[in-house]
Amino acid sequence: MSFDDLLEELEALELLLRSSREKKKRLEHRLLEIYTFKNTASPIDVDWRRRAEEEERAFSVFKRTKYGDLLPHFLSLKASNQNPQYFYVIYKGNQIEPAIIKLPRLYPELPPNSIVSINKSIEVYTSHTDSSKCLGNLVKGRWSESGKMGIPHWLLFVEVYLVLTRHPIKIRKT
Amino acid sequence: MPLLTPNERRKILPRTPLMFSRLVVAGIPIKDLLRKKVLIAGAGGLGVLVAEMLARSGVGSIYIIDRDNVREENFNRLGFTRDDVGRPKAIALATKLVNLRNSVEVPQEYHIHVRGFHTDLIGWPQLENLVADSDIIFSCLDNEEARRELNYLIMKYKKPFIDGATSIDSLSGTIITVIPCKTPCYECYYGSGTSIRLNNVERIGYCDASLATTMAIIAALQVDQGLKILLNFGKIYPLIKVYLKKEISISPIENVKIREDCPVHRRFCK
Repeated sequence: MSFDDLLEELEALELLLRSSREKKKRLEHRLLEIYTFKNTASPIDVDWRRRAEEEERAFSVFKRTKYGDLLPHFLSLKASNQNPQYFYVIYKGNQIEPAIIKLPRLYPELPPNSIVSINKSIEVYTSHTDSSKCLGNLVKGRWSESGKMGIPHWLLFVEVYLVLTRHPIKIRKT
Repeated sequence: MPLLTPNERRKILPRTPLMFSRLVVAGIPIKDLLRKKVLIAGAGGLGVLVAEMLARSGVGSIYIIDRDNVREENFNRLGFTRDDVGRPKAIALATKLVNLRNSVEVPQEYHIHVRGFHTDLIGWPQLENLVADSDIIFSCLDNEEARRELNYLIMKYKKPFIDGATSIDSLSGTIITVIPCKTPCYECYYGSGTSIRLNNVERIGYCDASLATTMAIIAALQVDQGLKILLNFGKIYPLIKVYLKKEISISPIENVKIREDCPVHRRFCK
């Protein structure tokens, strides 16, 4: 997928993200069409290991969708063996560096909390008072509380955010 | 550990450092407060006030957690000054509290022990130990996810929890006091299965409004409830609503029920 194609794809997603409740449902449907999680365990549950493995599998599905590479800034996803609330992701910005995704205890009902890379070239939170780091309304209200969405879905919101902050897109009013 | 009787006050007063003498006159058993450990999550507009009030009231140990640094936009609230810009809020606040309470003139047994942690509390491995080690937890946070993270742990360790929040226009606020398994927890109000969604509120711009006046009232009510829990006197209200938009109204609400399908209650309260 070329960068222009990706922009177009993300622009379409962005339109859905900003639109009415009915369209939000369509967005949820569309995101879940790419991958729907079967295991809805939290990091505090005994079944978490299986959900963590499913996260890694889902990530590779996202990297192989019919849309091509929907997560161009993220190369791999791996669950931490030490802390069930951590995932490691390889982030490709101007340089390649590892980043940590932190999950709340009540994930996946709540979305992931943050992604911060070692050199802080990416530092994005679901909620933050500093607007330059905050996904905010991009995710809130669009995250499925059913547990069927996971880290790859959240990273897609991060991709939209990255594109919007680095390459502002003019939103069509239609 | 209720308030001191008039006789006890008279007896203790001459042996009390001047800094705490008025507290003894008010009947506060200062030696008991000196043994208490408090965790404050968030060192923003509410957290700095809660921390300072607790330190001035004689609490013995305070843990402060905050992920941000002091910025100029924080100056419309109380607590930080230009000298603090760029410093982690938790560390800057910890330094202030130590300077306020500890000096060579004050006997060591009256000194405060403060530890500031510059970190995001979600996923932070030490959080569980700090909650377990504290007598009470104050939530002065700015987001729902962190509140729910903390709520989970206070329910797990059965620690009283007092959450303060101001509205996005900063002209009203809420204080939620949780006595685990006895009063509704944060999840009972805002968790899944409730119809309340904080994110449905329309926002102007990116940042929420904040006013020092509202923050001071909310923080004072948080500390009032906290001291009553720590010293076992007075009445505890699970919910207090504060409205300042037109008229002034402070409404303590007693009759709030634990949500039957609250997943956190189901997990920790048999």
